[in-house]
Amino acid sequence: MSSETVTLTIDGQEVQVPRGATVLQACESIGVEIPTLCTDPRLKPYGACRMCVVEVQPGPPRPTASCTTPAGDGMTVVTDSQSIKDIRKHVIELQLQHHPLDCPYCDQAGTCELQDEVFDQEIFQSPYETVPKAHPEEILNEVILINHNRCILCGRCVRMCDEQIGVRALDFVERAVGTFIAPAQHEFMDCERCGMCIETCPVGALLSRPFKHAARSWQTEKTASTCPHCAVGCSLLVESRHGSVVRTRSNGLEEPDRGILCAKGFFGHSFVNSGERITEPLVRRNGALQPASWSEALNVISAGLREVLDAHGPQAVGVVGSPNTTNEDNYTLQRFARAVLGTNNVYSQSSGLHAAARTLRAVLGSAAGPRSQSELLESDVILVVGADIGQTHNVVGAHVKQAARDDGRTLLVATRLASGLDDFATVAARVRPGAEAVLLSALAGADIPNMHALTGIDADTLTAMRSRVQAAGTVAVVWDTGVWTLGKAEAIAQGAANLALAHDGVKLFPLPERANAAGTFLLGMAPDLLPGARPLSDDEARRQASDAWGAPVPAEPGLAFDDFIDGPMQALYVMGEDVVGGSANPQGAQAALERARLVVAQDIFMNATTEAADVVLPGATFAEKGGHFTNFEGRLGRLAPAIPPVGKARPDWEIVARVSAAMGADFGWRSHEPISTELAGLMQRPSLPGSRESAAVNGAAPAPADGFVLATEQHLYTAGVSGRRADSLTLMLPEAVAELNAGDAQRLSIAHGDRIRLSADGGEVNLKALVADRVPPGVVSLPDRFLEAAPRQLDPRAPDGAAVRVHKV
Amino acid sequence: MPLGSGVLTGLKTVLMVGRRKPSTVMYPEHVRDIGYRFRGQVGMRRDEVTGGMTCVGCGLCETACPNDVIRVDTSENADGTRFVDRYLFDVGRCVFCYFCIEACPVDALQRTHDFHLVTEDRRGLLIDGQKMIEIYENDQAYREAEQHNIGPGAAIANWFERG
Repeated sequence: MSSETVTLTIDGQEVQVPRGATVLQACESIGVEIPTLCTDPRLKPYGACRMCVVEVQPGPPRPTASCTTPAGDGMTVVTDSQSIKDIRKHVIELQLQHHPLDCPYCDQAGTCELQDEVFDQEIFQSPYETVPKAHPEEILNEVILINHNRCILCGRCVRMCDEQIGVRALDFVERAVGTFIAPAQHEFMDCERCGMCIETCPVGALLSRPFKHAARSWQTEKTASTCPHCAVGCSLLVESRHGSVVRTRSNGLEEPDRGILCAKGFFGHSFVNSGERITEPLVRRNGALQPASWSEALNVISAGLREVLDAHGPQAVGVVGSPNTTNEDNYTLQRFARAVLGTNNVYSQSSGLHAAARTLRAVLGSAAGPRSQSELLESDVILVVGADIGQTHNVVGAHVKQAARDDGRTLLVATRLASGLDDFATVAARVRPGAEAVLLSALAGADIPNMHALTGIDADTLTAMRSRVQAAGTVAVVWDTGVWTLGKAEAIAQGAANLALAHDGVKLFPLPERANAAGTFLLGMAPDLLPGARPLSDDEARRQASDAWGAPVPAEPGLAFDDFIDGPMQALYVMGEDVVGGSANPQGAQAALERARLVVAQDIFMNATTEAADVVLPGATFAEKGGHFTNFEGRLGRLAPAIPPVGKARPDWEIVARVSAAMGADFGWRSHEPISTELAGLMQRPSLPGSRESAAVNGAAPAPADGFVLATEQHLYTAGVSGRRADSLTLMLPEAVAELNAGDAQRLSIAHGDRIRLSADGGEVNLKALVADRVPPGVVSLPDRFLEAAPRQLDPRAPDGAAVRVHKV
Repeated sequence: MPLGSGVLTGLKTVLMVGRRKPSTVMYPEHVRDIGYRFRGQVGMRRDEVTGGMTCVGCGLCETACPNDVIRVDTSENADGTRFVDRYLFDVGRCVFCYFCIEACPVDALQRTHDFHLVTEDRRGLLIDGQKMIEIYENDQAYREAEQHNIGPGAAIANWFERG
């Protein structure tokens, strides 16, 4: 016991803390408040501000900074003697010598730690001549600006960027009284725009440009919610005022975000109040979509569905759920489809994760299921394959960097593009797009002939990786299941499963491509699954669902989506998804929708599917409804309504429930809570044995002799339809771009910013070229999830790894 | 007391009061002078440089208001300063406590003597910053009169003005 904890006395009170805790933490554990300015619980102790001084016995005969002093056995700490109070007051008075008193004007007022200290220390005037600095505000990049006058040089932004994000974009410049904070590399702060420097700044020095002067901090309503942009599911504090979201911030230090956010979480909220939102139901009259009342829209839908059911039977009806909407929304849609319409044609467009999860389950059984992030970060070896998770799942990427640097994890990186992870990796290699599955199999021990030509990784590097994997007790294999896995998701999952079969310590972490993709799988949003991702063929599962829903669930599985829309489809209900734009064959899908008797699309923005729909219903964004997202770990992230839905929009579950009620089956729900309870009762996870058979993965085609290989990954600043409507994110990346290596660009005499044309067998796109260091030679990168240039335009089935030609326009 | 003296006293009072001028006036044709310490509608000072509102949009009046009268919407100006998009004052909810005037760090909000608050439509009670500037400037005569210490209680009035 004694080695684990230390006992010390603080202001006459005895306290036990774990060994290694600081005196500051010991004080906080018993509620003794110590004022601090340079302390952030996310950061390591620094001792810059000297506000936290205490008297320690035994110890040096002078005040000691409690944040950097480890608590020791038998210490006596005095925190509130007169001399300590004088020192603290003096520290603030010295800070105020240069700090401008523009609080009525400053965005940080109300959450300013310096302001709080001035009040706590009861400072009403300065004993010194005050000389406010008068530097102009400096714009660092599209979203961040700095006011040097207010800066107190605590270094929290510098340390946050280094310790937590691993980017090191900010640093101290100059020395002594001339010190100021500036971008470390260039004048322009080319960082990840995560906004965490703004978040941690105790004063109003680093400011968010989108939030500048938008509201005072105390006027906003704060709602704890969950980020809708990716499958990490970071907790957000949504701040709203007068019915619009004014900013989002990090909320608490808990998993999965541990107190940090990325650019999408911090700046990507303005789509909620975009002027392009669908705000009222639209019904097609005389060939055009026209505004209608809710009752008219519901009548059209229920009449159309009933007509199709009577004429063609339930097999002609299908519903599409969405990884952008909550578990409750998807569950309501599923219950409506299976119990009210009587069809198992239930879909979700999160193909990458569904394919990966199915393959892993088939091979490894239900034990493959989602695992927690702490298991990932505590593995001896972390292997990142394929897409750069620093771009696709930025916050997990930041945690992986930290684990590699601070906790001594071995990081192996086999991504297609160079990334920030490389700096923290033990072995970093570039794998050729299309050869990821082969690489995984090779790591599992498969003997692949012609390895270097196939994967672009030489034998030495492969051996170095393989030996580290084999020597490790636990290995976490991490890959994003975004668009780059299109057409090869099964192969990659099989490759990872092969590795898991070859090594008992391997844990697999497929990172879903969108916020609730894992949720749609676990909810069984598929023709052959039921809630809990239990197979439809499981009689017990079907009986339980039938009992809960009060109607039999048909035993016959639904058709695959492409077969369905090309075959019996007469009516389609789409919720929060673009089935046309996201299809491998957009023209075919659009023709199919136009052929159908009734297409209902429920969404927040117009897209190719809503344009082709007969009825368009206004759905609600994450900030306007309650519910839950399931993140990559299987953890539920709670959403809470921060603002009322815009216009006539309603939460998606409510719209589906109203349609169901109009069809004569009222679920009786008035809020999302009974849905959460009902679906939790059905979410029993099946216990399935896997085949546990290793299988050879199909070999990748060798690199084309001339031309380029296409790499399509999600970019950090793109987040699909909603992300492209978030002004701050579009500022960071205004238009679709293709990235080229500098050598290749020079060879083709393409300059940064030129228009180029990418063409492949499937089609071509015109877009802007960027010369980027992160792209290896012979590869052209087309970031996914722009609206105007989709990788699928080049190759509808499997764009990633396709041979493309690049021309200057 | 002799019999009938009560009647005579009453008659005397009636005769005396009957000779006086009536206290009532024909409002709104005739408007009585009001006391200079009268707490009327809150006005807004005009900024001498910009010609617009003096308000810097700090929102302290909105925060100080006990009755949710004030709403200040701000955004960023081209030069990076705070721009007041609109300043809304709901006269119908105001209790004339003047907490907003006390809170204002730039003395943009000012007391006036305006009590002509009647409208036919309650939407007319929601006034903006420009209207408040008008109210303040129309109050000029009263402010000047106040400075000349007319009438009793001048000492108290001066104390009030000095703050």
